[in-house]
Amino acid sequence: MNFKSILLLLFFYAAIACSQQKESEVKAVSPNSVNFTTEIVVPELNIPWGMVFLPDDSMLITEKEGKLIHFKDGVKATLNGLPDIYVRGQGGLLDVELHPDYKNNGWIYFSYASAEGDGNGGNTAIMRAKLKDNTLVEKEFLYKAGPNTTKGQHFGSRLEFDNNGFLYFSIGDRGNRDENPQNITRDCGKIYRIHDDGRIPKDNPFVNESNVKTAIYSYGHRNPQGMVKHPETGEIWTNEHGPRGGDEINIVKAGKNYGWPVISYGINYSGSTFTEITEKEGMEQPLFYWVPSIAPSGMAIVSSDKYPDWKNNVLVGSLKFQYLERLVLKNGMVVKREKLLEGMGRLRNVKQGPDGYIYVAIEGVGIVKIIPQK
Amino acid sequence: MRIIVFIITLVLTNSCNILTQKENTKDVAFAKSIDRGALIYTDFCVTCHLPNGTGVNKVFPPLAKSDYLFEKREASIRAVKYGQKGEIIVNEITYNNIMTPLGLTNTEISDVMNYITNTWGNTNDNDDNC
Repeated sequence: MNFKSILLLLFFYAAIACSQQKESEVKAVSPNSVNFTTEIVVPELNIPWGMVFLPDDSMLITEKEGKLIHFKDGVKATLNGLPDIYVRGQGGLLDVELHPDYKNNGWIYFSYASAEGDGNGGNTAIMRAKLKDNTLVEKEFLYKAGPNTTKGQHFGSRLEFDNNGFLYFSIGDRGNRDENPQNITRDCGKIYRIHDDGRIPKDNPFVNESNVKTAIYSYGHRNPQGMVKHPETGEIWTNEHGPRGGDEINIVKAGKNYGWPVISYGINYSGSTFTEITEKEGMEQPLFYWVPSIAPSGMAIVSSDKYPDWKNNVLVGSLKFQYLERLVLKNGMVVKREKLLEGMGRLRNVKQGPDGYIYVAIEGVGIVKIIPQK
Repeated sequence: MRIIVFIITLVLTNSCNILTQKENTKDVAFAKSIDRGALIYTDFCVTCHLPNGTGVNKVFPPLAKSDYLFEKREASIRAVKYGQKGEIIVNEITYNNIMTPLGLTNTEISDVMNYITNTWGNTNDNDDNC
């Protein structure tokens, strides 16, 4: 081998080393046997982005195109009184959630893309309202991210209450990764925390800094579209879309920086890189990262006794590979990943219902209940 | 006579010039439309149809070398404008997924159509703007 070819070989290796991504160590596998059946409980939905169960066993379901559906006794009613919704790209009517004391106060929370405010385009907004005779009433505008943009990506939008009654919500970087996620004077690329009526909590991490968006709870996020309160610890868990590779599970902590786009396990869609590093001091490591990306949406942690083998497992929908991923954790590490409901369609959302059963929302199919076999 | 020939030649040459100029303006506008379309593609389409337009087998149909895109142009434009639901067959493979309406303006739709029909080996001289 002459000098030239050695050089060439070295160059080749270097090129490979640069473009190579570190795959997730634990790979997703199909189960050996399946001990459950499925039943479509709400048929014929397009993109059921959000869903929530009301105390009378009926359901509220959001369709991304801008419809809020009340499903009761087998009948779908489309509710009136929604605000104007900016339907563009990934934006539309997004998540829906109930106040922890819904039984007494009737507050329904929802997130949506809105063109409200200055500038062309839209951004994520949060509103609460009550339901009266199939119409939303007493609407209160709680938050609106700015500035508006015609970009089609990354509205985030999952909603979740914690045990202290704080409302958390996610807003993605809105396709502006270089300006938004690392800058706390700007909206987008953040997890937010507010009171149930929209006030900013006095103990939010950045309340004492000037010019910052004080509703911010954590930053450096790309596009979190899964959020759930851990049934045992009460912590807020999220999952977020990476670009090509680099989807993440994070436990959200006050004031922390989750690194996007300074650190990432992902690369650009085109295959080029935007960062060489996956960790940095002052930036949080994800609890788990996916390479390749599964395009995670929705998140549930099993706490009911209906599925003894799945207790405390994390369930995440995969839009890209069209299955429900079951992640088994041991000492805070993912040790097993299983593919459930393969081939049923793009899995948008997953929740554990008040009856303890797992419900998933599948695009073009509807809401599907997972029934364990005795 | 000579003068007449001269005048005719002059007129013809000039009209040719005018025609070429018109062609050029059209080409420039077309190229600009394709450039704008590329940005729209990165914003709205790339996550599913991928940078090389190949899509994902059986999940997201390809745009590169897609028989559907070229044979069913109107249905393709309709899909971009109003969304697409239900079974379609692209390059002999059946796809049955949902693409929601993207909320693009008509100009944005023609820009992105010009881009996808003139990229990845696809060619289409017919400017969808004109």
